[in-house]
Amino acid sequence: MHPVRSTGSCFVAAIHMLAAVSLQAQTVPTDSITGRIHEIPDITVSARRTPPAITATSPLQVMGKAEMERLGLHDVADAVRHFSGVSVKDYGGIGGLKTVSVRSMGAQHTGVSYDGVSVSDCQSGQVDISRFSLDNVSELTLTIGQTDNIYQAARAFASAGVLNIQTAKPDFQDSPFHVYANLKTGSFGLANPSVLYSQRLSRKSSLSVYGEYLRADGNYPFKMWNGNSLIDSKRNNSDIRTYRAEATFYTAFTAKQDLQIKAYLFDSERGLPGGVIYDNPYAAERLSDKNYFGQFRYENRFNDRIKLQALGKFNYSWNRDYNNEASGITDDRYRQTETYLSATLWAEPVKDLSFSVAQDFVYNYLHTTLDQCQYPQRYTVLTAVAARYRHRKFSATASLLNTFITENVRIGTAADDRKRLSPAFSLSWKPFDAAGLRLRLSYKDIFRTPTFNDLYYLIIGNSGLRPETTRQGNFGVTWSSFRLGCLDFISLSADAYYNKVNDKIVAVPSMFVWRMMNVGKVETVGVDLNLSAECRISRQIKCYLTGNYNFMQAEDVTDPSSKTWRNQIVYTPRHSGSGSLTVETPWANLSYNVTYASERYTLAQNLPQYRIEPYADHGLSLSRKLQWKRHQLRIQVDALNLGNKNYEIIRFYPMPGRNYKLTINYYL
Amino acid sequence: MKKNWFYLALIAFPLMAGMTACNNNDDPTPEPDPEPTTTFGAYIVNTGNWNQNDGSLQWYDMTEQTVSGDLYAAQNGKSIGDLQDLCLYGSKLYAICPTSNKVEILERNGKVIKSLATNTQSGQPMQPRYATAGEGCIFFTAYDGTVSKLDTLTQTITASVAVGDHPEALTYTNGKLFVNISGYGAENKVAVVDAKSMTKLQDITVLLNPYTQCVTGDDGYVYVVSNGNYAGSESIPESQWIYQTMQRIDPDTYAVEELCNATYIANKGDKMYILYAEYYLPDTHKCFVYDLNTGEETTLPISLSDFASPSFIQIDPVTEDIYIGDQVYGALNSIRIYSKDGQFKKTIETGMSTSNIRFVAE
Repeated sequence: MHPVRSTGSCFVAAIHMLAAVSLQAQTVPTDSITGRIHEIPDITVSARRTPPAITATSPLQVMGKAEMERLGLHDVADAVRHFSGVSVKDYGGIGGLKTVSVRSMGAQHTGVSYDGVSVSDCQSGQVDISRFSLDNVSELTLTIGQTDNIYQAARAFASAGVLNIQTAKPDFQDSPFHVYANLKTGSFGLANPSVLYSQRLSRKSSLSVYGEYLRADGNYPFKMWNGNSLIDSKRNNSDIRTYRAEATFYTAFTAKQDLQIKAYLFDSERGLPGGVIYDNPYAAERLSDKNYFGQFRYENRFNDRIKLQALGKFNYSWNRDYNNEASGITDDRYRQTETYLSATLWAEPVKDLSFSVAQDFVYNYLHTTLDQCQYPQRYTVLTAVAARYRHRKFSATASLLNTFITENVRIGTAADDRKRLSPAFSLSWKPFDAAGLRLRLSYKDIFRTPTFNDLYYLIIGNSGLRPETTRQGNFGVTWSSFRLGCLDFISLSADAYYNKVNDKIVAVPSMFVWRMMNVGKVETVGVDLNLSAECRISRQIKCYLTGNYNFMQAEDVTDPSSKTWRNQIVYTPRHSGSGSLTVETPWANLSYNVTYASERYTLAQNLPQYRIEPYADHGLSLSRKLQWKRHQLRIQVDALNLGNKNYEIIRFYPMPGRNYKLTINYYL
Repeated sequence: MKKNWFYLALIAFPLMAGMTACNNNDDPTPEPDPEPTTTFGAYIVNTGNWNQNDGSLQWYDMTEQTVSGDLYAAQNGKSIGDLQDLCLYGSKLYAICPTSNKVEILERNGKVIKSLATNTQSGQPMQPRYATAGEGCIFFTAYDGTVSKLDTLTQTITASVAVGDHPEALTYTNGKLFVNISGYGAENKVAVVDAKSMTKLQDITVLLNPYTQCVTGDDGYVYVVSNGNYAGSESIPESQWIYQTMQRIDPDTYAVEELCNATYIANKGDKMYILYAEYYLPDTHKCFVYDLNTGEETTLPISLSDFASPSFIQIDPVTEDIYIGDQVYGALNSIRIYSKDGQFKKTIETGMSTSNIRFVAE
């Protein structure tokens, strides 16, 4: 993706290319442009292909390690904010919940996978991406709609969008071991050391071990207006302490078979500052999380035409929600497990035409200490069949997912069994041989099943809920070119889309209590524009420019007689975007980035008093690499939120003002 | 419009020297209240959405038939936070704000005279809930399990007494306070407190979960609604369902009598206007008048299916017009007004989570 530029970024480039290779290993052979080898004068040799984002039949966005470093990004949420067509709900600060919603469909429609294996939360249905580190991540990929990679687990077909977090896979070409040590410190008591150690065990096996500790006080100052009186205070009870450890074992039994086994441990304890409440700064709620999982991925490439992958995972999550208020102490515990198995068979019986069959099985269980806990168990069986035709100028993918869900509860009534067929298709056409112009069209029909909270939580839950369905259509144009004037590379994409969410699951008040109901309908039309360019100013100076603009009109179309009819749905900006400019020199790299969102409303009825001001968050990042023999050191200084405004993404959760971070990476 | 109502209100306020209190019989003077002859208007209590700082206080001007904007914001240049209950007593208003953890003494026009932060000795928010008035004092419950006494002359909290877990609505009658002890749905008590000495006298056992309804009737009895255990829930067998029920407590003997199913109640003379809407059982929903002497029920032609979620019933003390709040999710709430025989008159648009209306009549 990015050429090997200098030995200084060798590590980065190495993992990057590995990631690129592994990614493309899963896709079918390339067309004329993507296969072309580009020789860039000041570099030895570099294979450069058209980024998958350009060739994809559904919108696909990829961010590699090099770009993350260039932009000075620190966590997954920061990175995702640079993607197009997504909104990150961020409750502020390091410990604040962060979830991703794709094209206004809601976070519960966004699947998250870690090294290709699905991460889930059967209780809330949404994954808090603040729990993942970026330090050992090599690549983030966001697919909207159905990816044209059909060699996937059935679960990859089962959400409206998928964020994949790919961890770094070590490369032992020049050394039998590697150490990648990181130290991050910054404002509000942040200390975050981490170490990634990789060791080659034999010609066929290797092991990576990752450990991380993070602490922060998070008690940042903020200013907020209540009418014309100013609240000038600090967030309190917002400290966090997190341990994370990961071990990954890689082995290749033969040239055709390999196995990857991962163990993941996460332990965190944090304060929940809550929203700002006028005249009452008290906050004492504490949240503890433990999440342990083990997963494996086995692959057998029988020959060029047939391959098989098998995945498995066991996940254990435990939360404790503790609060000490005048009314007494509450101490609730939640425990959920997931057992997950998947197998996918892929074959290409005829050249350019491939098929896959994927079969997944998931078992979920939730145990809580709440009154009237129903101890729900869910069995999910997913079967996906997909076909893909890929020709030089034309590519088409079609898939059909069958879902069967059955549930049991120990007390009360379980939800009815659910069965559903979900189709998706996508097309891409490259009308001209010479120009890198592509047209794409895609459609996907998918749903989210009600979560255990939706179905069984206290008396709010409603076991009669239907799934919340989405239909999305996308039409787009992509264009890319290498060596255009002073530009090394440029890509542009424009997508227009239409989504419809039906049977939206909403908590509705009803006589003292709230109840989950299928009441909402949302219609969204939008446009995503993306630009990415690289420009060489001199032999030693290079510039990178990225930008995206999103228009999203997401309206409530539930009831024409209601006050909320055709109002923009909550927390959805009509206009948003991000941009970055990086100047890379042999001495230092300087990067500027910005994210923007227009006004949003916190109430379904878009009344002026429920409007949140637009915001722009500017950041600067300066980094320098040093090398001594094989030791590499990288120092990065970031200034974040330069405007120093405590803007709000979620109303009454002010974001930190201007703050600084210092990062030191050591690589051997 | 917004300005007009306000000038009118200012003119009207001095006329209201002998104000009605939260409950009709709260007046400390031993002689009975003179029967009011004119209703000037009413304060609309908008509790606000949870943790959204969007509670507000509005004035419904009956002469002009207009609803004001947020009185509190207009007078104080800021939002009140949340507003659970409002007590009218003497020449002032007493605003009870649980999440914002304060009791505020307001002028009749909404201007803050004094704001009392309600912290416990250990510095935790007490979360005040509901208030009533009597003997020149305001009494308010709080989630630290207490009832406190606010002296309206010195404007300080002078005493506090532990009453039970999660106390909610309360009423004053004849030197005593009757306090619903909800236990957050797990308790079945009404605590009796001596208002003068602020000592708890006794617990009266009622049906499970007495909550927002606790009033002294014109007949001197205390009427309490227990919310039960949400009858109709799938997780409870039908034999264990406890329906929402109105009970009558004799304030002297503490004898409890179950009268009829009820969710919200409003009293006028020997009539109790009742709204009954069991959460899980839509077929039970009805609006009727219960005769406190004969026990006879007269159904009113008010269809609760017109409501997104009914949130209270109140009666104009003079005209006996029926006011029923309607909480719509994600949009401004409203109050539907009916004549005393249930004929629809009009709908007024209010604020967020409209939870009560307090009439100003003389």
